[in-house]
Amino acid sequence: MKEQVRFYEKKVRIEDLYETIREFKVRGFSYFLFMTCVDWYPRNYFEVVYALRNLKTGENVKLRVKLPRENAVLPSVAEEFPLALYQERELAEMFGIRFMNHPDGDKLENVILEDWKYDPPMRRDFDTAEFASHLFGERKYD
Amino acid sequence: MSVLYLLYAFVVGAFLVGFGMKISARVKRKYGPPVYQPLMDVIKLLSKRSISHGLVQDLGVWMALAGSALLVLAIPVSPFPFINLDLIAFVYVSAIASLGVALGTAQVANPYASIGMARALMLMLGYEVPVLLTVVFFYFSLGTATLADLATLQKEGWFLFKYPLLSAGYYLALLAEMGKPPFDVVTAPSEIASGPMVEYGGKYLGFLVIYAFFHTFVSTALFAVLFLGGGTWWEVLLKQLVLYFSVVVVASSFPRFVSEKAVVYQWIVPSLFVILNFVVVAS
Amino acid sequence: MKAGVLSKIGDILGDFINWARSNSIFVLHYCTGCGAVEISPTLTSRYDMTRFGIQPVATPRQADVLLITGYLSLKTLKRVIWAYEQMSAPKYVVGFGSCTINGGHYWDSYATINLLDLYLPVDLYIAGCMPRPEAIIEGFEVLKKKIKSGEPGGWIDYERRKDWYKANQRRLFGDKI
Repeated sequence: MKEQVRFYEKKVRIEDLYETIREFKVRGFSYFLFMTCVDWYPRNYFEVVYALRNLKTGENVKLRVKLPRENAVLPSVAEEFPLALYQERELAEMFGIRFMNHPDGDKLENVILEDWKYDPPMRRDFDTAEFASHLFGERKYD
Repeated sequence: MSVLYLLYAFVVGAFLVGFGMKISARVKRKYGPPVYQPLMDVIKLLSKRSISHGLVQDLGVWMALAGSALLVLAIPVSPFPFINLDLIAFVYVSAIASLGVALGTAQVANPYASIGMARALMLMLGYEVPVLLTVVFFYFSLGTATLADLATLQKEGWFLFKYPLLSAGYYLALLAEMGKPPFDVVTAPSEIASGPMVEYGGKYLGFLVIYAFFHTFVSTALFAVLFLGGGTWWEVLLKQLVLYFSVVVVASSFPRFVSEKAVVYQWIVPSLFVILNFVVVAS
Repeated sequence: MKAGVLSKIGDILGDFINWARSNSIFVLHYCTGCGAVEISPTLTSRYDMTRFGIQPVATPRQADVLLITGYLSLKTLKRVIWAYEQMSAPKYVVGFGSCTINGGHYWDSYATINLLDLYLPVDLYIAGCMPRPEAIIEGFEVLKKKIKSGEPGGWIDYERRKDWYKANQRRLFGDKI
């Protein structure tokens, strides 16, 4: 059978997040693949997913953390994995998650959205079609 | 009559540049623009409104145009009146034209312009060495370096065949003076956004294009008078065409030298040719 | 009698200058979106655009035509407006692809604009996603005919109705434009 990409899952609580990440890094999972966020809008929580890979054995692991949707706060893992610097900034501006002890400071400037005065746009309750037609004008076919 | 000479130089320069664009396009297997394209470019540019940063930027354009017009009037082509300049004075005045464009970048707050100006002055440091060695050779071996005398001294044989090493060295310096690849580090298309000309638009760019026509005419006519025995206007025209054809074919086939390497190359290779020429003639 | 002759000479001179302006077009190809991949074959050996007199230049100060190839995000639109205001008149804007016409593929995105005509005066739209090089050349032929007829382009409209364009731009950017 050909080699497939397989992830081993592990659910983590917010308090144990930093310790678990450091433990995985010590165990050999030293390659940070990505970090993303899933918005479970009807169930009213965020789920941040970290993916790590072990380069010697080729195993991948996925760590899932559940967050409340209002006042979402997470510790920053950028000291262990510097790749997470810009990915955490992107999540901060797109979803509205706050990261404690981020190395770039406390009040971070937006990376992609310049002068953004509205709600974080990647949330599920942000209606992009209505926002686009409100800000950029109704499309006319005449 | 001098005005007629300037007009003649303008038309010949425009068609030389047009032929150059066509030939370099054909080398790359495409049809080029039509041959009269530079004339249309000049007319279009002179009919636009222009934006200027201040007096010094305009001064740069006037210096460039005045310097190259003076050089045009100094080349001995037969029925036109010319100023009897020495070769040393010629090299001196030709620096004014390049310095003019470099002066114009002083008021422009664009970093591309400063980089282009630094490269232009550095390249001038490079190609002046073989040119001045050529002047020294003419003084020592012939005793004169006036352009008219040099043209008449070639009645029995062109200098291209009498002193071939000298001609080869001067040909390489000519490539750098005209700003053609492999020494086109000054305008460097797609690298520093056309160098010192980056903030000129509208009518000023039109004048800079006219300066480019004059510059092409002067460089090719100088080589034709010095080494190919220039004579009446149609002989010089024919020699200019053949010379410019060879320059464009060489220019379309080479990539660009890095700026420091271009200067070092100009110090070594053409100067070596001229010095070997000294040795060969002296023995 | 003399006024009639002078005005006829003026007409012929004007027609000649318009013909020269239509045959030499300097394009600043501002590669904003995905349409930039279609400019490269149009410009080089395969569908040679320089034989029609259309040449690329490097800076907006030297350009005639601002070529907007594809979608424009908010960040890019601010810089494009700065580049447009640096060009010297007479200048034209050509919108490429359906993203400049009605938002195209990204009509419901929170970051890309839907209609370019609200922010910059567009002279010509070339439809397609992405238009092929033959369509690009045909579009430039239409632009050349428009320049040759001496019709004033969008830049006069920008000067006359500047308040309306600025109001649309300020709606997106606040006071920063």
